[in-house]
Amino acid sequence: MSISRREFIRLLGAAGLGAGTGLFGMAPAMAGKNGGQVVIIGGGFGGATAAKYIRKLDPTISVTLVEANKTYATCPGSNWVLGGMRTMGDITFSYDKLVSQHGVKIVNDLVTGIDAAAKTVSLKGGDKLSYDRLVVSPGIDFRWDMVEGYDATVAETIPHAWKAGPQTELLLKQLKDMKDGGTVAIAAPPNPFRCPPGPYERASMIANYLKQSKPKSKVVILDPKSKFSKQGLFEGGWKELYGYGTDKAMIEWIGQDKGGDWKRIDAKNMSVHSEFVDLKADVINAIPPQKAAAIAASAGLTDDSGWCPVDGKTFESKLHPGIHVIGDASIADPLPKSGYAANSEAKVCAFAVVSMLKGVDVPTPTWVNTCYSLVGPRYGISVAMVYELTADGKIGKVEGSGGVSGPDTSRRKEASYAESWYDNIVYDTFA
Amino acid sequence: MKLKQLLGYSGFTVCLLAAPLALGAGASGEAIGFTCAGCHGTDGESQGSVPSLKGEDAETLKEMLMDYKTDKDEGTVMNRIAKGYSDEEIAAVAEYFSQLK
Repeated sequence: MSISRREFIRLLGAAGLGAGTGLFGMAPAMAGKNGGQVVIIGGGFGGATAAKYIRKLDPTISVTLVEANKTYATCPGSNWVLGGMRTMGDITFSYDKLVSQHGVKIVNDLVTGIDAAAKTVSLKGGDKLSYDRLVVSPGIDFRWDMVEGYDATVAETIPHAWKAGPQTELLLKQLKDMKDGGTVAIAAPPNPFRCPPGPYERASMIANYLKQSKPKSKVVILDPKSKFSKQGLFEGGWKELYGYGTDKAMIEWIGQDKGGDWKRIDAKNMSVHSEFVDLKADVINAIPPQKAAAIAASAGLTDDSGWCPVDGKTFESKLHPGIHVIGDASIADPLPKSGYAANSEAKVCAFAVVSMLKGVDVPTPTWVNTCYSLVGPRYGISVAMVYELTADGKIGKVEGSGGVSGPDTSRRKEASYAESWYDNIVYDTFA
Repeated sequence: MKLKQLLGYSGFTVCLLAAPLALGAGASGEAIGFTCAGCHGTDGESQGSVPSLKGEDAETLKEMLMDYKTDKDEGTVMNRIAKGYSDEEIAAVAEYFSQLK
């Protein structure tokens, strides 16, 4: 026991690759002859973590990550950009470290097809990649058909900002250009959707910006749901910071029972409509209903719900053996569709992929989700849960664990931990 | 004791070999340790105000986690998380982080 585990892995890696990281482009192919060939589609929290941890567990496996973009702007933290607490640069990452530190091969291309029988992935650029096991982590797409007057083109003027990047920048610009005394409408999505506390943290962060720069303005949330994630904590924070429930409230929430079930956007008139509410606004952020990203559907990985059914222990698709689906696209409830959950699922999937390639038993899985939200710069709240595989092979909450911040939990400490959480989860995923 | 040490030291490979012996047991220290990384950093090396766990004394880590689990110590989120693990799992993850250099 004179060498540490890390050194051991590094030595193994060096032996397997036969060269330093300078030859990373060649190395995976050489290593692949030993440990097998894994292709990963999608470089978000699920895909990037899976790539890193498969290599960490077994450096003899060749891992190729296919991602359309050269950089990734994280959805976590994107609300903080709207609140003036971080810049887009702070939340944008490259895949360089996955290459240099972990020997992952990155292919910047768009996947056009998956052939589950031939075990190949076709790329828009014309190449075809073979795999022994495939990990699909494509994220979400929108159900434009469920909202009248809203589609990808309208989203260029009325942003969803539910995929971080140019959409976040557009919403930020509109908030900055808005006059004082204006109304910002957030049209929240129905369940299930990416990042359950997200719309409410967004309302908080926009209110934080308005409070400082445009104090006569307000945020109105139209919500098709009758309740939402961390509701008591958010409403408590809104009362403390933004006059919630008073005639000076900077945040107003219109839930399902008050007619929040919005169905139509009028882009010309700048208004959002439900059966009972017509809301005119100066800035509209409309977050439509969601489903697994298109590639999951075209590859036959989705069921009637529009999401991907998977085995709880391995995240292997129930529809196509040899293909694992992780992250927001998978049906993994009670795990939420969050970046932390995707990161946790990716590690369970990594254990499964490595074990299945070796032909040994898949070890007992375990998951955690921890999500922080900022209500204000020094006001943080959290929800956490530990998950286990139940006797019937499903994912379940560990009884007695988890829950939300207590009434006496320090909001200041949790705000500090929220920022630390962000720095660690992105490092754990992309570096 | 020997099995525990072996599990702690050699990580994944040995865990797999040892799996049949540990039938019905919880997740390995390494598998649990991976789930901590989102807040405490890869290999327990934190980039921010959340404490690092890497290379900490196993007995101390175990005691801290047991104190959170039994609410003897009041943290923010850790009381809620520590309740998700058996005493054996807590010992295993404490051993895992203590071995990381």
